[in-house]
Amino acid sequence: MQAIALFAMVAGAAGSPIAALGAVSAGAQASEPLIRAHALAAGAPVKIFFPAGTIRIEAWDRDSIEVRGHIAQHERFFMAGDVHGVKLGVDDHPDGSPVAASDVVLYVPRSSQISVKSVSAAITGTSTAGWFYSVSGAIHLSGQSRSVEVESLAGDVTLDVNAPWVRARTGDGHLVVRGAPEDIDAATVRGPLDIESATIVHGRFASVQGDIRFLGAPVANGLLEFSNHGGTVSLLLPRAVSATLDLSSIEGPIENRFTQLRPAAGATPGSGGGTLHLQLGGGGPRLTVRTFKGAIRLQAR
Amino acid sequence: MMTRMAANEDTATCDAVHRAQAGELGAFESVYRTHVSAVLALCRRMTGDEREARDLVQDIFVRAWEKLAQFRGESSLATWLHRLGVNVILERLRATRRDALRFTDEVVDDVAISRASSAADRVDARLDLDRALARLPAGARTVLVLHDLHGYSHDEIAQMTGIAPGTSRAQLWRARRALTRMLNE
Amino acid sequence: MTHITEDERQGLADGTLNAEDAARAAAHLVVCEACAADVSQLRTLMHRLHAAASASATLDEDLWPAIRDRIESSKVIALDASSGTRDSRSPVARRRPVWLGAMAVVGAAAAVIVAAVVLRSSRTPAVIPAVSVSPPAASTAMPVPSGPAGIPAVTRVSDSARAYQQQLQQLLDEIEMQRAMLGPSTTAVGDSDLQVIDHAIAELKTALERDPNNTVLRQLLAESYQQKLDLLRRLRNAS
Repeated sequence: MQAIALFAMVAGAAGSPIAALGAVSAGAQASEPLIRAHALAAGAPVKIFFPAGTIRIEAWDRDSIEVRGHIAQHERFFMAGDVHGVKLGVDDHPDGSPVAASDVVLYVPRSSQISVKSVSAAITGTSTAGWFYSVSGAIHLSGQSRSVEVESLAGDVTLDVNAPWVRARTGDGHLVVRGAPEDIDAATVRGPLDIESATIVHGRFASVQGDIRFLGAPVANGLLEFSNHGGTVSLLLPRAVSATLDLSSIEGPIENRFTQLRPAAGATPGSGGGTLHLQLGGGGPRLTVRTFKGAIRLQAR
Repeated sequence: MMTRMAANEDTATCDAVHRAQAGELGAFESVYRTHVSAVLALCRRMTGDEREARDLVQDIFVRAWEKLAQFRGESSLATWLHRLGVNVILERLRATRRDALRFTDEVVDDVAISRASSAADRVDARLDLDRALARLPAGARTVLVLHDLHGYSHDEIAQMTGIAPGTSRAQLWRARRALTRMLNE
Repeated sequence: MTHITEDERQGLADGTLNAEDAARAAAHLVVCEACAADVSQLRTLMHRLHAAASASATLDEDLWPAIRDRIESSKVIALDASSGTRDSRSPVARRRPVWLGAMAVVGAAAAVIVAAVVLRSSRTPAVIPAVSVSPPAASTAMPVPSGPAGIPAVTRVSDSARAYQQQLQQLLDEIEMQRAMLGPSTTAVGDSDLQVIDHAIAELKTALERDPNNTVLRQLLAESYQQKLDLLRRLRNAS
């Protein structure tokens, strides 16, 4: 790929629209691009379509948007909008052929509402809020955020965010929840789902075939629900934890390596499954686990 | 597939069970009305607490509704309900114990039984049986009610509660001694 | 004098001592007043316990309404009604996650379709109606009126399976139109995941046929429906 320097745009009068600019022709010297736009209104949307390569989005405390990076040769970068909203990215090919990889860093006002869509590009966001979508590229979000919604068909999703509200989905990718989310809804189809957070007040975690592992610590008034059809659900809790647990499986085994209680037998004799209800310590947070045939494992860490 | 009922089950019960298994809540109500007294008696004796007993009656019938498809008529409905009720009660007793780690082969709490029987000295000399049962420690009361009132063996009690058969026997003896003291003082 | 053991006293009282040991212990009672009195007390207790075993209890309160309400509420499973369309409003204002089994409306601006799983039985088609709670206006949060036991009052009734099928069909139609625009790898991943979810739904439906009142099964089935809707929305967004 012959890197082509991204263009720079000089700020015009306030309120004037940002012109849509094409790529610099091949052969130009790569340079450090800089874009300054007009002040973006608080909470203004920034819509990004970036098919392939890497895109990094960072929040900052300025009232402008800046783009730097390298666009692959023959690919067309676009940017349009005004102070109330911006749309930018790399165009698709009309014939549907794959777009070559480009690499971009984007600085946006902290209050911006981001919408990113990519095909295979890896998306990284720091202290950004909004919707992040990739077909197969990895998505990694971190920092402080108002709310985050992440979706992928097959890409890995890693969340290191501190956010009051999070929704995350992937099909086959590995979904990892760290950081400090409070209210989270995360699910995979076949990919593994790992939760390592200790701040979740409301958590809903689901998979169809992927294994779910909870390595966090439930908060005092927490409500955590785990649902899995065929994958396992493993709860690795601190030895001194206080919690009330309701574990049910239709056909899967329930393995309690935390206390000596054994689960009650399942519905149909000989078909496995069972229920286990227990209170650890003084109770408090409530963890509910349901599986169809996936195993449920409870152990201390 | 319709459940084949036990030979001594009356026709009305058979009909109600089949309709309830098909999802008719009205039919299940008649099951409730027929068996609530026996279930309540079980709950009262196992818990020694009226409010908890009423909560458990609800839990048991809700669980019975959920599990009714598994009732195959190999025993009478009353027996099946009783077994289900015992399981629900034991789950609740385990869940409300402060430290679930200790519900295993614990040593019978002689001190608790002694306190229970001496507390009777401060009330009328002749306690009725239910009040005396309520004064027993939970573990001892569970074993005595299951064994002496409902005919479970020590092996069955051990399997249901997670204690050893020998512990069940020891709990039973001490519970009988405590009851005897309370009822004769 | 050597007295009989506790094992023998208890065994004499409840009749569990074998014949030989019982005979020997009984012979001791003839010559030992203390042991005889002790065993007599235990036997009296056993008689009282046996008499009490068959006694039933009376209840001054009818618990059936509370039991019925719990059974009815356990039949209703919440499905997430999000259209999945992208807009610029904050997701906090747009939608909150809907917790399966929860009857309370979560968040003032949440749109909730509360649906029950339709149970198909070869004997009796037990159709449990779904309830639909209208979303409050964006600027004014109308509290949903509560009925008995805090259950939201029904405002509109619709067939739950039909609601799921409608959403599903709409998404499938959109995806079919856009399928040509999806890359082959995208459709391959999507189709594969759809097969996994459809297989799970089939297994759960089969299990529910055998055990129609099983709340856990119904919750798992609702979760699988939701997974399928989520996946189809992600596929639609891929184009």
